[in-house]
Amino acid sequence: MTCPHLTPEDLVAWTDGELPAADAERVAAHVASCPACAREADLLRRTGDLVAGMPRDPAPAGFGDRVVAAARAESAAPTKRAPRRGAGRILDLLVIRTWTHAAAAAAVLVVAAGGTLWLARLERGGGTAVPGALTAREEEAIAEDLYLLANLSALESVEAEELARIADDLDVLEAAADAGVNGEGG
Amino acid sequence: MTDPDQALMTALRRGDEAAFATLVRRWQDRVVSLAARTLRSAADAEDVAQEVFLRVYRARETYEPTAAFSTWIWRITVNTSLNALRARKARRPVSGEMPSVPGAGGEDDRIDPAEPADADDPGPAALAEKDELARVLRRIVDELPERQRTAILLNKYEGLSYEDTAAAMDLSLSAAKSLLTRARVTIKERLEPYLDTGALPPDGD
Repeated sequence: MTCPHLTPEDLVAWTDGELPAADAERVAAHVASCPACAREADLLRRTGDLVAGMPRDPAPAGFGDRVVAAARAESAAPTKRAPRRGAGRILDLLVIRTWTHAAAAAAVLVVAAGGTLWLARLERGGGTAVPGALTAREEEAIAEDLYLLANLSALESVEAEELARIADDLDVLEAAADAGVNGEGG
Repeated sequence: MTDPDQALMTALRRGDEAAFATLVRRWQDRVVSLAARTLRSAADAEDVAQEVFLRVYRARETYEPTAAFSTWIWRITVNTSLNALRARKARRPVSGEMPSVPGAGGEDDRIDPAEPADADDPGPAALAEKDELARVLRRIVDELPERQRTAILLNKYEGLSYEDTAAAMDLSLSAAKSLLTRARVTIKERLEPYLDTGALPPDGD
């Protein structure tokens, strides 16, 4: 745009018929007396027409049938809600379990760092530390979960069966914590 | 008020599955076209368009005809396309130099680097045929920043008003105007050498 009298927005909107009547009259009056703006408006209008005339990319043959079939397959599937996938699902599970333990006035503090597992402590509301009693199999399962939790982004690709298994393992952790809290794990 | 598409959605909500097939047939070319031009890939456009229609289908029980169906489906198409574009960029990190556009500047004027256009542009002198002009135009549009490209395609290619373009992109009217102006001026400036050679027939006056 070379002319100081009009903003580019005004000139473009004018060629598109998008200006309110009063503004459109003002622009039209200026364009009528300014060859530079008249040329500019002409180029902008032709540019718009060219974009409008760009070739279409119609849907490929059979597209509609494929879409309808996909929709039908979806609605024919069991109507249960799709579970949250990956990290979202794991976070759901952790939230549920955190609240469960809060209710029992106990907290499980687990720190996973560099692949090393520390079951720090199973602590009762009164503040007495009770050592956890876990089998090797339980520790292994927990270590695996913690590794996954430390790599939440990787969980986006975890499938439903895997999530179910992780949920089971979290149950093991929960049971171990309960055992520790109740003093039965000695 | 007789929006045929809203009527079809209402029928679908009542369980009339044929209404969905009709909706798809009515909209498939428009949705695929916009997705193809936004994504610059026919294959990706088909995936995106299928996802758009499945979203429409999944919303059949909660759809409330408060706004025009067209605004709604354009919004879904824009969101799905831009998400796909970003996912594709994340998968394919950019390497090498990007082309530049005269008059570009500011955050939204970055050249979209996901897929540099072909580099065998013969220049104005070699432009003898109209499909050459069409190819240059397509390249210029392809090289616009994605939001400018989406806006100008909605407005000019799909024929939406400024207001509808803003609604489809979830923008204020002034933000949409700004995008449309920048897109239009950029295309005009890059196309001007070709227009001035007479490669473009004057439009009838």
